[in-house]
Amino acid sequence: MSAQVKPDNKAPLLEIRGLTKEFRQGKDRVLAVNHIDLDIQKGEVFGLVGESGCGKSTFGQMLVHLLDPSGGKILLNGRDITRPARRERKDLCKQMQIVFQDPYSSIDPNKTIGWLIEEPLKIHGIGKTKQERDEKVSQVLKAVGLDESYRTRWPNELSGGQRQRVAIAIALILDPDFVVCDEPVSALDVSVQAQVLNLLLDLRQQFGLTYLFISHDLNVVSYVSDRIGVMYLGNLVELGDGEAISQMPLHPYTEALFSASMEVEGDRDRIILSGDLPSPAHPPAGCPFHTRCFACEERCKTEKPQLREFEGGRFCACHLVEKRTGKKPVAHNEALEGNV
Amino acid sequence: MAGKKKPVLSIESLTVDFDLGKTCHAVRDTSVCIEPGEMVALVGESGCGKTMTALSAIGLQPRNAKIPQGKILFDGSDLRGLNEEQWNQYRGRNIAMIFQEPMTALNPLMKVGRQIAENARIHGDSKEVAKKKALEVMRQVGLPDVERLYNEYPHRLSGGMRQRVMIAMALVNQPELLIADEPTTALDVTIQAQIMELIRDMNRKMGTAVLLISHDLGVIRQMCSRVYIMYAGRVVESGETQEVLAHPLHPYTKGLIASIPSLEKRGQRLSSIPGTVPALEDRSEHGCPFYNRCQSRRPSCQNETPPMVVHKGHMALCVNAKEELGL
Repeated sequence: MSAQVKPDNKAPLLEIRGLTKEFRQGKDRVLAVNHIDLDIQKGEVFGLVGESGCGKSTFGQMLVHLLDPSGGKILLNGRDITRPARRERKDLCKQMQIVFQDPYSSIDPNKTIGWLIEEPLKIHGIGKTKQERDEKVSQVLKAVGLDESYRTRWPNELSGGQRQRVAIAIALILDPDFVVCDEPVSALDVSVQAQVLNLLLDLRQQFGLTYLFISHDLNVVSYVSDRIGVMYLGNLVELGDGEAISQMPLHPYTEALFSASMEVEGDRDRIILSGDLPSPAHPPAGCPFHTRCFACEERCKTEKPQLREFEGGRFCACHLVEKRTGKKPVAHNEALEGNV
Repeated sequence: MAGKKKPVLSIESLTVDFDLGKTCHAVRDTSVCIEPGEMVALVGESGCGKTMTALSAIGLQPRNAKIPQGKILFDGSDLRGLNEEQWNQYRGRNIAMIFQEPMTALNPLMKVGRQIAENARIHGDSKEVAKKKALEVMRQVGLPDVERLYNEYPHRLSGGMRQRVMIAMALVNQPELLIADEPTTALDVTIQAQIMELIRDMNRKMGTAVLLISHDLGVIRQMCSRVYIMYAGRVVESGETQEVLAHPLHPYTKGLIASIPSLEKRGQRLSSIPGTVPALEDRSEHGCPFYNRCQSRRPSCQNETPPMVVHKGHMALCVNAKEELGL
């Protein structure tokens, strides 16, 4: 409720409560995703940023059931879909889809484009006749900006941008409501990147889609996202309106992240973090970021900050927000649990 | 632009050909010049020939590549036509190169310290001197605990540290020129900033000239004084970085700048360049290389090679450039 930025939202599409994923690595337990609470609103683009290994892809894959959560809940339109039965899981594919980063490995090189796009229809028994299915494929091909001739072509004849369009077509053929875009433009060249970003935003309008947009590219994320979440070592450290976060980050990590991404125009003072990302198997005590933080205090080394709400629907997990930015926390923090 | 100082490296009308049934030009008539202590950028999308240009500059172009014309002048002497042994005199001592993916560029079976020292050994240092130099340069590139790290294997290091090791390796002989081919593409944003800062630092402290190959205009704006924009094997625009980015002349450069997403462009459609970079074998022998994707093309562009327009050190390969400059 509190984090709603878009006014036209009633019930959220996805409610995520305490979502956790633990991997075992020999004797070590790695908390890839650590108790994340989040609502994703209908029709929004939620951008998730962080460095590699911060758990952002794991988070996205849990939402579409490519990974089973170790704890927590996922609700789709109010219905618990955390651990769906087999039948239900298949049905969920019609509502949730994913587009991966590398269009060279995500589509089968041994099938024609037409076959690849049609396959989900066959699996789900949509369209009784071949003709009906063909019509559907044509519509989707057109929507992603590929002409009919692509139907008989093979993946190896296509460029990276065209392949990504095919991957998007495959994700959209079942008319999903929610699509996880896991670094969909990172493998593409700048000029092609812009084409695919435009396409994704057009399709969102056309089909009323909701995106979870995972990326490490701050320029891309601040361009597409209505809201942005920032992850660090499996924790959600900041959450809020995309524009507000890009312009005035509350968390020191977000600040460093945005200052490190170099802009073509304008000058920001660059903050260069020292050291590497700590191993997620042995996260630091206290605030997970304190080992690299430029504002770190004694308290940060022992006490882990919780995600708190601040003025303007912003959330941040840092002890020093008041001190560093002057922003005041919103009262009733105890009641916040579950409302993020 | 260039002029007063004698350039460290001057590539003059270099062409690199491949035989794919017919002769294809991966690099065509390309001239790039770097002065001592300067940081210069080579920008373009994949397949534009920027890496091929750099590889040719240190004689590492693929075996089936032919160089029918052009000069590679290092300190005034032409390096083209050197044999392997002569090349080895230059590589690693005068010109060093670092690559995109530090893990594949390092030998996984050899201790980090030895790999760095090896470069000094090859160029005539004794074992002891080489080790001393290696430790020294490791400290300079900001590696922690160097005595211990000297005996570590590459797989034990993080991506950022590996790239530091690569840079240490390249700088151990204090070369006049460092070629950095997308040195941070494989790294995370915050680590990327560290490595770029390091390269700039080394450039200032050691006076090493740097040729930075990148597709990231943001990085280039902050790092390099001059920039060369490559498209389909040709340099289509070059000049002072600030000038080129603020007042681009070539439609490709314009398109590239306009297609970068940012907060300010929210809600607007990104302007993108239609189509993709043509494959090597699809490039036409005549006319403008950008013809198929250009939005301000003229009929003559298809068959006539565009003129090179130069004004105050700002060069563009486009028929419209002259008008735009008001010449």
